[in-house]
Amino acid sequence: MAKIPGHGLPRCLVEVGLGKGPRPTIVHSAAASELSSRIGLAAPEVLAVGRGGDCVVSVPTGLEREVLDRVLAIAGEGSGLVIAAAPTEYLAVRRALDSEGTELALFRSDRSDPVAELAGREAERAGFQVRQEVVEGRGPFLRRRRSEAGQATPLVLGSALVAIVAAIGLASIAGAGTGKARAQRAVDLAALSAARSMRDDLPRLLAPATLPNGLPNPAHMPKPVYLSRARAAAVAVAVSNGGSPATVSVRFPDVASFAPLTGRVRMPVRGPDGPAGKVWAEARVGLAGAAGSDLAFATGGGYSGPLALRQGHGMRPDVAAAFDRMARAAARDGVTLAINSGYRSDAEQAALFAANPDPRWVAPPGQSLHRCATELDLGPPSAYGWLAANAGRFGFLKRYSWEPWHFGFVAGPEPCSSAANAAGLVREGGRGSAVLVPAFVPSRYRRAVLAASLETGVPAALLAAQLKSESNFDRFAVSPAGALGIAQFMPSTAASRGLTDPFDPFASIRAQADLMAELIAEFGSARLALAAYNAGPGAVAACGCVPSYPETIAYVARVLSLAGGATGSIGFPMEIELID
Amino acid sequence: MAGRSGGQATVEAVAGFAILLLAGAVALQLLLTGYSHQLAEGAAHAGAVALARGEAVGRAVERSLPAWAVSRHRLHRSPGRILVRIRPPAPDQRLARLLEVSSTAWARGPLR
Repeated sequence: MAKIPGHGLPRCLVEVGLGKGPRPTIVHSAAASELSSRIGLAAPEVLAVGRGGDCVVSVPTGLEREVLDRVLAIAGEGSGLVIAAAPTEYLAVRRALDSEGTELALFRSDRSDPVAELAGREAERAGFQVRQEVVEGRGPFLRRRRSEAGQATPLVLGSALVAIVAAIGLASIAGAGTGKARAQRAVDLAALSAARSMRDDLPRLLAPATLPNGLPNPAHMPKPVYLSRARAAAVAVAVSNGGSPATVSVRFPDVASFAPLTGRVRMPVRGPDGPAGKVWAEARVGLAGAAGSDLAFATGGGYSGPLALRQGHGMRPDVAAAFDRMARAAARDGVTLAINSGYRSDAEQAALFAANPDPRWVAPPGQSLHRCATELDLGPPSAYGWLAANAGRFGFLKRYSWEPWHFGFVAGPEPCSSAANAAGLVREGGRGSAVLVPAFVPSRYRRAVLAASLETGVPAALLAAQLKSESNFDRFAVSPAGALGIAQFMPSTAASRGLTDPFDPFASIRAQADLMAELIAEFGSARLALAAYNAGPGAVAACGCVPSYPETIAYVARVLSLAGGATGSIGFPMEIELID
Repeated sequence: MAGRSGGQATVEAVAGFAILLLAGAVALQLLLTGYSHQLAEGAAHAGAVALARGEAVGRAVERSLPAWAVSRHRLHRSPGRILVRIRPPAPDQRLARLLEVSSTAWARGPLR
């Protein structure tokens, strides 16, 4: 227990102006009682237990002067008394005293409180370190309330500030988080734009470099130009979306092929502290839909051969040419012709018949002339009159009197005949002499391709495009995977098909045509047959679609593009897609 | 004196609460505006992707937006450029217009 030097008294805290009632309040303890007796007051009212032997004397308002005089007289005999002015009962002040010990005299008052000032002066005179906190106001209660308000207001304002800062912080965090996402979007769009450019330029890339008369073909676009345009499109879009031209990198993973269809774009990402990695995206040109009907070629029952598309409907190329002439004539008369149906495979006819099982209106599968690719359902009804009067001039005949929309083409080979299939091998709009063996086929292989096509029914353009894609007509080609020859047969496949020498180009072309004919018969479309040729029949049979192998998807798109779409005579939907 | 003090405390408490509410509202408006900007960026990107793929841009933009934002967006198209503006939710239309956010994305469209 700390004692007041010279008095054997403990160090005491005297609170001035807070006690209630006329008597000072002294915390009950032996030391307090001794102090109380020396002050000369009666036994104090006990309010609380003293702190560790110290004593607390609370002096009521109105008795400050009297009590202080006595206390100071005692203090004058020694130097261990602590004097404090109101409101030391305030918790924070008590804690301050607790931590700092009673060597510190602390009092709080307003400037006009003479008692407090006196207490402070006396304590200082007694050798104590005095700290004075001046609180404006007139009464201890008001001061105390003001003191609380002074803490509450910063708390409220601080909370508000924290809320706003949190909102701004969240927004900036979201912004920082999207920095990389924004860069990713930029490369996504750049890659898509490269693919868009390739899609648009593909027909020109695949157009023959020279015209039949040997002159350069102005429609042809050399591969370097094709690639540079795709690169420029990608860079322009990346820069427009926030990239830097110096940092955008554009590559074409399938650049070695005759028709690159994939673009890859990379771009570094900068964070607040410097480089934060790279983002990249890859996009390709593919066929729309992994499965579905093959709009490029009709196979199976009825007509077998390339289809020309008009308004999304397939038809024999010579029928399409006749329709074009008729549509132009109708337009001159102010009539717009619409095609509601064209070629229908037996499978499509079966589905149609199942939905409308009335032979008067829908022919059963295998009996509809639509399978011959010569029949068109035309409209709108307002054009029926014009069609009835004029269709015959263009080789079309209204088949049934009760179907004013149904017209068949009768000016060419008989529907669903071998001659009709041969007509499909004739260039669209041609006169029958220009057999559709593409100009890119080297002259030494043209006869072999044509013969294989005529014997198997697989379009020559399809076989030729395959050969160009597989080996670029290199009879000695060997792929890294071990595929051999002009048609790139794997040794096991070649053996199973009786092809003893895969490097024999003519035997290989024939084996290729046989295999394609079988695959077309098995899968029902040239698209799936090509996929099976590239990825194996098992992979195609497993999903009934073009397997999602990038190489296979690109192979099918490339071959079909070259076989038909590139010449502009046969079209099929192609799409641009990001590669995951 | 106690009554007067109590009144002041009440005033302080009410004022503090009002300030807190205001701060919360400002923070919420900031967040909504930022979120709207994020939506605009996503919508512009979706529109640009559709443009490159040769698909319907307007439909792609609308599909990328939540229902509440569909009626609050405007789409501007120019060759190769998709601009989406969104008015964030706000207690007042003028404030919403004032806080309107926009985002632009570029892509190569099909040849015409």
